[in-house]
Amino acid sequence: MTGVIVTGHGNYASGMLSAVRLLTGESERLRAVDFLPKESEDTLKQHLEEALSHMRELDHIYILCDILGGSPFKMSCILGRDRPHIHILYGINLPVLLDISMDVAGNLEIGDPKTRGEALLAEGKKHMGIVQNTVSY
Amino acid sequence: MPVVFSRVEERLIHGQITCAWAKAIEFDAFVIVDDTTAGDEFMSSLLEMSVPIGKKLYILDEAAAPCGIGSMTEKLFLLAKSPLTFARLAEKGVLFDKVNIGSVHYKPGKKEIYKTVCLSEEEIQALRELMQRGIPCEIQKLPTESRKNIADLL
Repeated sequence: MTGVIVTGHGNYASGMLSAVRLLTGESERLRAVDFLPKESEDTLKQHLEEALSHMRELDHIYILCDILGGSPFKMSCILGRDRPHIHILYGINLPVLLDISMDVAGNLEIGDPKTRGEALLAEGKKHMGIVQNTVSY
Repeated sequence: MPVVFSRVEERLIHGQITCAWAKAIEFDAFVIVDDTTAGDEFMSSLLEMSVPIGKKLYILDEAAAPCGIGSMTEKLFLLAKSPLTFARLAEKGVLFDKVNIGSVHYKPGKKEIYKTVCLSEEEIQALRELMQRGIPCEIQKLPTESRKNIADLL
């Protein structure tokens, strides 16, 4: 089984999760870790460890981080070190989270976690675009 | 060795640095001066990954920093975790005209002199030394925020 932790600056993570709840429903294996203004990296790391402790039995854990190089990203990498069942993605958007949350909800086998990770990123990119024709003639 | 910006930052490179400061300051390379990071290959590679496109990163231990910075020709953005490092660098002849202070969180033995800026007695002393050298020290989390002069807080 797969678990997902979203982590990001401010309420990005809990905000993303609130959108997922609305669109696809709740799951114990989807968790959010916010990084709030007064918190240190140590506090953030503790909160991530706490979220991971609820997922000890799982085969794979994806940690989805908001931006490359931010503290949520760095602390996730530190916690993921030498733990090959933890997979870290960064720069994620809601379509990525929605896609993986369907795996979680349906208890789907993810297959090769790297390949699945690449597919998630491709999904995220596919869902970004620019609307061309908003002017009617 | 043109240091164009120097910042006390417990987190070294992180979101505020990559998203805000790196865009507000004109520079070529970050220089991190920190013994622990310089000796930690994993942490170094993480920070390397975090550097915005087009910028470089040098990680030096304190002993190597004065000479290393002296030989660099790029515009440098200097980062260290504590004012103590900056006081020692200034003593060894590294030139910078100002110290900006970002986040330094609470640990036992430190007191909060301003919002999320917690310093020990030694660190406060280090800031006094820097100011005596004519180097102003200011708290400013983000480029869009106003600056708070440390001299008014000590």
